[in-house]
Amino acid sequence: MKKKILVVDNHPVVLKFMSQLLEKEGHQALTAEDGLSALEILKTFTPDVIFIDLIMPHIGGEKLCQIIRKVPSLKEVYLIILSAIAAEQEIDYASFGANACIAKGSLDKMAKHVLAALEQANQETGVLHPPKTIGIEDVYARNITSELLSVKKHFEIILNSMAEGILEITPEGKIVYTNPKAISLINQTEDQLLALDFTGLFLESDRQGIKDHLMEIHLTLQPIAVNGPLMLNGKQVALHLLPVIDESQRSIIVILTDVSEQKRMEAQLIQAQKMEAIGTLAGGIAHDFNNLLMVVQGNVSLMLLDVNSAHPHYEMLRMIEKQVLSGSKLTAQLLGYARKGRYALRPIYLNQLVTDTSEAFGRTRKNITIHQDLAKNLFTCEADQGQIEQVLMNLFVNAADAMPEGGDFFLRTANVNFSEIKGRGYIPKPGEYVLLTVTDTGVGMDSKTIDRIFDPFFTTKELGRGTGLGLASTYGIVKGHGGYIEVESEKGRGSTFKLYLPASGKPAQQTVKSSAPISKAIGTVLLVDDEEVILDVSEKVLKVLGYKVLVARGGVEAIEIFKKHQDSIDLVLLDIIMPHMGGGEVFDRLKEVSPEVKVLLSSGYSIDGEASKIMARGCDGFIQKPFDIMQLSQSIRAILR
Amino acid sequence: MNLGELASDLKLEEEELSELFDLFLKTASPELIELQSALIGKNAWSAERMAHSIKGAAGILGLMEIHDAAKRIEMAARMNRLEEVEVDLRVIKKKLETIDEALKGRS
Ligand SMILES: Nc1ncnc2c1ncn2[C@@H]1O[C@H](COP(=O)(O)OP(=O)(O)OP(=O)(O)O)[C@@H](O)[C@H]1O
Ligand SMILES: [Mg+2]
Repeated sequence: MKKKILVVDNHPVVLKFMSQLLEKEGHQALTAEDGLSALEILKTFTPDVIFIDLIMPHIGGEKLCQIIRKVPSLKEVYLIILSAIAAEQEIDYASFGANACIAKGSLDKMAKHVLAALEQANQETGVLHPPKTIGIEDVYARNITSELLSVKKHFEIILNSMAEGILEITPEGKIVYTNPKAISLINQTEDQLLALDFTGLFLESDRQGIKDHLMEIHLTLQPIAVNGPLMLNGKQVALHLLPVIDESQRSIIVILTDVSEQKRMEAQLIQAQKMEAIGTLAGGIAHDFNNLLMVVQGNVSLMLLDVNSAHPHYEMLRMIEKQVLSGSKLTAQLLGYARKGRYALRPIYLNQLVTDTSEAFGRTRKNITIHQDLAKNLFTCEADQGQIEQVLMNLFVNAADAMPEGGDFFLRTANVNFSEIKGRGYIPKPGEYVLLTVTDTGVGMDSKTIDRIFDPFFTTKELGRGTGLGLASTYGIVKGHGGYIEVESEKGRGSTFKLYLPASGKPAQQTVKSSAPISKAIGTVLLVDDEEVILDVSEKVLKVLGYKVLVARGGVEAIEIFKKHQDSIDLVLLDIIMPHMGGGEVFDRLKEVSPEVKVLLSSGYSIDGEASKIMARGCDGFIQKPFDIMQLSQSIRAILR
Repeated sequence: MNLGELASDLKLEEEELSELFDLFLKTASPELIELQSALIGKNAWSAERMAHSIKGAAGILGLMEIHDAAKRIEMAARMNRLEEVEVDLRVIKKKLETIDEALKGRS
């Protein structure tokens, strides 16, 4: 019976011999030099029998059989393996779907076996023959192939354990080999991948570029690195394309590296650097603004002393004072974001702060119902009370803005261990934490908004309503306190913010806010600042308060004056940021001259923790610029009392 | 070399056999050149593969002298003992020439 036959073998002599033999027997025989071209032929040609060489470039015999068996129209084809290694190795050809196997030997013997196998194909109807290789007894040259086999296995083991995806593709881009890592990276089965167009794995927009690279490599035979990165199966990958020149064929080895994680880290780093830069800038601006506001505030305070409420300028001066206050709130946000302005760390009791702040807040937003669930025995945390108040206000105001028609507002506190803070993008430092959960029933946010809420100046509110600094400063302050902040929200489903602050073992200290009226004071103050306007206004304010004032225009001058007049000086009002000699050094020198010296620090900000460092060295107090006459009076009295 | 004899050994028509030999020469000659340059360039890996390929085709055609020589070269190359192959290389060259002459003599 005349048959349609395909012979696949990489040696032209075998192909020639087979077609001679088969045609002599009256069959129609086509030939292919490797698995890939065989698949190409099989697109239009449906043979009755296929002879397949086991070891071939561009998709070997075993793979080819497996692929053929998956094609519905080729299910019935009789597959005969031609193998030079059959003698050394038991080939379980049935397992990859072949019907028979012939050991390659010299032509005369092979001819006999080929015809016998065809005869067998005639008789069998789809039933698999018990695996027995025909013609093993006629084979020579056993030892070498068996060694070759172990070499092949060795390479296979290496390729299988590579952390990179490795593919071999033809110059046209057809995949002919993949290692397991490539299979898992691309997330398709080996059968699906083999003979597939490599460029087709990538996004439409990337394909032409990859084709160009393949073309280039074909021409230059130089390796190419594509660091793109390119998107592949939802991952970012880098490609290395290496030309392989074989005696008979050209192909390209593709090394696929998953760089998603690396790219994510890079992006994070860039983001962090950007934030750092903005932070430094914001902190600097805040500092200069505070000094400027200080001068305005000081002068307004002085003028208000001279006018009574009936005076035509009285209301205007009050207005200026109010604006200065708004201005200093803004600079406080900037400082918070810059993680600066943390002056006085002391153990505070968060429950107390939450209750006080929410009470004050509740009075302004009557249509919001506040629910509190505060843990008993809550740990204290070491924090700057002013900054934590600022954080709470930011969260409260945002929640209120999210509920313009009113709604419910939940405040919860709890003690948690760091081990309960899991599955986040960060790994919390070991220890105990105090958790504050703030939940509103407002408009919520989509994920795009959530991604950006901590960015400075990000706001969805109309111009004039929001500056986009609230959460940026909240984030900065929480970070500055060694804590963490998280957000959960969905559009239309309200929002929850979780704040983790490191717990402290120390008992909370109560602050007493004395409200002693301004009364004439006695004593001498040494005023140290580098800015003329500040010196000018501060001197006037101090004099109004009743103090004698000595003025120093910098650190060196301050120390000279102090040495001369130390017996009469009761207090030094010391700026921190000054050229040549900063407040920290001045403080230490003054202490050397007289350990009893009383010092009140003042600053528009401090380089992170500089103020707290000086405080830790025994400084008596700190006052944040801009301050008004009342605050200054109270701060000095608290020290001199 | 008697093609007719060999053909009857392999149970092929003389015509068919000469076609196969012709094909063998066409593939083996460039492989031999490559083998030589691999040996000069001390490229053991390439030499091994060339020898392996020549060996396979020769074995199929029953050209056992070429087959055995190629096999020895392959083994030596694998051990990176390229200096040992001179004799076998000459055997292969000589045999290929003989086949070439035999084919020419026929036509
Ligand atoms: N509780 C919340 N519910 C819904 N959206 C919120 C909530 N909190 C913050 N957002 C969103 O995050 C954005 C940024 O908040 P952030 O507090 O940083 O700035 P802002 O409130 O817009 O301005 P600012 O606080 O400086 O006045 C807001 O504009 C809003 O879109
Ligand atoms: Mg806000």
